[in-house]
Amino acid sequence: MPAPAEESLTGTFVLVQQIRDRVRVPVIAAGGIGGAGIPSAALVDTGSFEVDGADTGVHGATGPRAGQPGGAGSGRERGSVVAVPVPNPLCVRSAAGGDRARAVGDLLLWGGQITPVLKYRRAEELMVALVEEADAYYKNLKNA
Amino acid sequence: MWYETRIAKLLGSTYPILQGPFGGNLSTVKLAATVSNAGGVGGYGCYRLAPAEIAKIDAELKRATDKPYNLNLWVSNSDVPEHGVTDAAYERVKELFRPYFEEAGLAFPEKPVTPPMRFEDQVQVVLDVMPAVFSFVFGVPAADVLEECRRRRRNR
Repeated sequence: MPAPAEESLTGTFVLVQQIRDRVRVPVIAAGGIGGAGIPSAALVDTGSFEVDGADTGVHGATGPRAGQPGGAGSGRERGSVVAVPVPNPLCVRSAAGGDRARAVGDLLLWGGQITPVLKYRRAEELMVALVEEADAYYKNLKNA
Repeated sequence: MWYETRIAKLLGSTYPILQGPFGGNLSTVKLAATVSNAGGVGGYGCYRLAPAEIAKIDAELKRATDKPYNLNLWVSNSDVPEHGVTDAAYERVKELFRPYFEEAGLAFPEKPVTPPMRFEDQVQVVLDVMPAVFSFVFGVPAADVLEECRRRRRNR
């Protein structure tokens, strides 16, 4: 049995390094990466980065817990959403309270742990910025 | 360059940047195609889609981008018990969540219709349309499904 989510909150970069040392396949780091996180992820040699914030930022989903692990509404602790898929109270409040979160179907996922540092709301702009920030970081490394 | 990595080469993208493929109708063709066209790997979460809907989304993605994109499925894709949700369980949850729906002025969702989507049916479509990337979460597909992925990739 895997450990319950609340007992397995190891940070992305610690976890990625542990996995990288034990597998031969490329590792994809995901969750809370954002622009500045790309060089960090590259330094632990993951090979790729999954930017959930790109999705949540573009859709404008934010939650009361932005900047923290997703909690009961995230896939991480999906086990806490039991038997009948209904929105958790936070999601309903958020949808009603004019928050930008999108209440869809009968399940709403919180994402966007990196949203506090997210500056872009359009995917094109975000992609360009991610690449530029990583480029700038490596250029600085060479000049140092 | 920093972006010339094993996985970028494997997936055929310029940058090793993947857009998270949210399921539950949160994905859009426009977002996925935009990311792919910008050199990343756009993703579309398909776990709530019927097989025919997955084929339709894939056709739209193919029209919107000629770059690699990712279709995502949940292997274990529902918490609904095998024989469906009992009326008693539904009423229990309804009672619990009623105040929130009342406050929000929202109609309470109907009891979920069973059966939920079957991963086995969904993945068959993914195999047929062969996106550059098929990703999965909440479990590992059967060995024969993974072998079929490799076989079809070799024969592309």
